[in-house]
Amino acid sequence: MKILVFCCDWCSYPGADLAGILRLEYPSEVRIIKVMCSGRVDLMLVLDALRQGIDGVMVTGCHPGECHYVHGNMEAERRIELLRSIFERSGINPRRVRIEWISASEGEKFAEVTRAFKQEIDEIGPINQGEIDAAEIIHDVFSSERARLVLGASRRAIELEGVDPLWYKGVLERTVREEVLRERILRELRKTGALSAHELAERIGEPAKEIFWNLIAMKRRQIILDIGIVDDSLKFAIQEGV
Amino acid sequence: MIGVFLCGCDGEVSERIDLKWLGEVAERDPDVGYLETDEHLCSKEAVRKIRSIVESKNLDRIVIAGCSPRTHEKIFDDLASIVEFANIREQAAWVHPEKEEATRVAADILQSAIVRAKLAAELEPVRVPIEPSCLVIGGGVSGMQAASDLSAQGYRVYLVERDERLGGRVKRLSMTFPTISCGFPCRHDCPECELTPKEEELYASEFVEILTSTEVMEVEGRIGDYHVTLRTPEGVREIKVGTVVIATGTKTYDPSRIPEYGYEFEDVITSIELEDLYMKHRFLGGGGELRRPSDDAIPKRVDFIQCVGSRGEKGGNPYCSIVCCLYGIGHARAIKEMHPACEVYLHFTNIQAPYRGFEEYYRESESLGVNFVRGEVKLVEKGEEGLVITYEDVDLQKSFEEATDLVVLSVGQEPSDGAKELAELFYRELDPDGFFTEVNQKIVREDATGVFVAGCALGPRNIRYAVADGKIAAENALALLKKGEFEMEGIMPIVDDTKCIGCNICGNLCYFGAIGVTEEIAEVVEGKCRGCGICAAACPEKAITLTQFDDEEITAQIEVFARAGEVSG
Ligand SMILES: Cc1cc2nc3c(=O)[nH]c(=O)nc-3n(C[C@H](O)[C@H](O)[C@H](O)COP(=O)(O)OP(=O)(O)OC[C@H]3O[C@@H](n4cnc5c(N)ncnc54)[C@H](O)[C@@H]3O)c2cc1C
Ligand code: SF4
Ligand code: SF4
Ligand code: SF4
Repeated sequence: MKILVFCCDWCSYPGADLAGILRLEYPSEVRIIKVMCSGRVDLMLVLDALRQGIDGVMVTGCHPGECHYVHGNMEAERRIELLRSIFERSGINPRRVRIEWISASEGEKFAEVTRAFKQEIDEIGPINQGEIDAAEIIHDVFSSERARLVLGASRRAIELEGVDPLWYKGVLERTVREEVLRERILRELRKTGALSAHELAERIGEPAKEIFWNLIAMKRRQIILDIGIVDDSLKFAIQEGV
Repeated sequence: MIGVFLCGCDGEVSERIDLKWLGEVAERDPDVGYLETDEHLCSKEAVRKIRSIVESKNLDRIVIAGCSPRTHEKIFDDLASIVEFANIREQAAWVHPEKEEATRVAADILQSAIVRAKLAAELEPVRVPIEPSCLVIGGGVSGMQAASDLSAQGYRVYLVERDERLGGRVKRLSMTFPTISCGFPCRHDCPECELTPKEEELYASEFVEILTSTEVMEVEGRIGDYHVTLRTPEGVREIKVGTVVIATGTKTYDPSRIPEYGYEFEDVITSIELEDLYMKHRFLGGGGELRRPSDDAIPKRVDFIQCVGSRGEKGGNPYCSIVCCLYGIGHARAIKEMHPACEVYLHFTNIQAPYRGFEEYYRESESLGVNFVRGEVKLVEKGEEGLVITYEDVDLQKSFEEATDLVVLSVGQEPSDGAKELAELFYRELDPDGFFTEVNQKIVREDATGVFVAGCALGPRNIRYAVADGKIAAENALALLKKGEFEMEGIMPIVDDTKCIGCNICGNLCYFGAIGVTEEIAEVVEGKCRGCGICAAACPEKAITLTQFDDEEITAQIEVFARAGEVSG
């Protein structure tokens, strides 16, 4: 089993050091990567770890209100929350990712939360191929523009423009889900060539109607094209050069 | 070529981790060209040795495997152009008791440090010039001391005070404790002393410009180059300074927030109003007499209530206000000295005053006849004859309801008005109580803002510490000013202008205003960036790379951990 913990330079990294200084034992599956701020952790990095078979990723940062960069930790929380809600419907156990606040003086807490996380991963078992494949797809979604734009603009929308946070969260989740679906459609098309909405629905396991609307949107963005009616149904294929 | 140095830490590491095997793991990496193990890498001799090896073997990158970089980063940092740390002591040796397990973890940590060393870019340190001037905000004892020290070295100082006069809280105190003669600025028993020597000195200095009735409106810029807009009585004015000292002090707690204490009655006053009473009678020529507000009579009984608005008493602030025991007892004693017939009670739950000489001072007031009563004051109300105070005495296990002539509320201190706005202007953190925090309180690190905080703005303290703070802040500012430039670690975002779409998501996320779209694409302001990397993580186009902690480095580390076990197998 492998557990990756992102630690921020100001709070949780010294917190982990303190666990060492106090000789507190914590799971030897834990590996630490230091970043300056928990807000530095791009979801791509979390997903990269999962798609490479790491069983659990924990982002740790300063307690709310104590971030050295003021709101980095809140950005991190927003991202991890989003990821968990996306995982919920993408076949990845959302418990594989979590966020924790650990101050520089909380060596004890570092040991505790890593132990608890290990126990949780023990319960849900090692990451399976289905989850790895899904992580790969979501990774690609979070390396493309649309999902990143909507996620990145969250703070501006909510805090500077006064958009209702719940509403925005809904938009964000919907957008990312849509992108995940489109990514899966693309992969199916790449694998099989041309497919209809119904055929895609069968393979992907999402309603044909939803797939159809996404096909239309993708066509409009010239990612795919329809190649006309084949065997009684409208088929779509990837646009050349995509 | 990478050199790897393993440290045994005098057994702390070498007894818990198989360093020999660790060395073998390192040497399997083709880029590792040199390996050395020592029990004391941080010793002078070892450091000297590393230096000479780096030179003779032409190593441009080294990895130090041993304690946390937090322990000895500074010792090793300049030994090669790239120095990476493998924290195998805190993260392996000390947390995994099984040697084999600890060794396996250490191997991963070491390999991840090695890949970081391979990928790390040499950081171009960023140098920014420091404007030879300082803005001091707040003209209390702390700010005055800072202004005085800075100007004594010939630097231009703008001393901004929003009140009409300098002096802050201390100018309202009739006497100060525990020294009684307060020293700086001395106002003890000298009603004729309009300007203290310090104030005169500041007004006389050719380097100090004192701006009273003035406030800070806006701040732009970075360490060494702040453009500050001030609101002065003459109008709006802009100044340019290299450093800033914030010394905005505190305000006192408003006791009407605790209705039981009867602050609405004329003869229930705060400690500050007590000071005003003394001052008034001193000016009126009444000598050192204490006369109560309602009828100018010398009170026959005075009750002090301690911890008003502090220490969580009756819903007040959670912290101790530090000076109120000191001045409460001081005043109680002074009243006893002035009017020996006056009965003086001091209601407290705990006495907190860990100052040199305080204990003796406290005993003395006891022997002068001040009644120290431990226990809660339940109510101060107005009876037919005058004020009635209901209190309990925990030591006697009894409650009392007695008439009194004057009640003094020893009010605590809170962050001064506008502290939050000022903190935002300077990107400073406030602690949960709303006070400024010391520079990088959590870990001592070099400051990268050129903004220092002194005195009660950091939390309640007595005059002596507030003055000492002023000196320290001035020292810190002077260190910067004297160097004339500031060199910062070049952790910096670099924007790829072929990818940037000008969405300004980075600009909205950066708290420090260090990145943002001015024309079409994002630009980074050198000297403002603190290197958090939040912008890079959020850029929709992935147009931002970081000179440290870049995606490339982190993904390489992830890869090491993901395939771990395969190599060590
Ligand atoms: C009732 C009372 C009695 C005390 N008695 C004693 C004692 O006996 N002995 C002792 O050692 N200590 C005593 N103290 C503590 C002492 O007053 C403080 O230690 C001292 O005043 C701290 O100095 P300072 O310069 O940090 O802040 P302050 O004296 O509070 O000065 C801050 C100054 O900044 C100004 N300011 C605030 N905000 C702004 C802004 N935004 N822009 C411009 N200017 C601003 C204020 O107007 C003020 O002039 C007492 C405190 C109180 C409340
Ligand atoms: S200094 Fe004394 S009176 Fe003031 S809050 Fe602390 S304990 Fe209470
Ligand atoms: S977030 Fe990225 S794309 Fe947007 S303005 Fe900043 S650098 Fe450019
Ligand atoms: S790294 Fe942090 S401080 Fe620097 S520009 Fe980006 S968000 Fe701002």
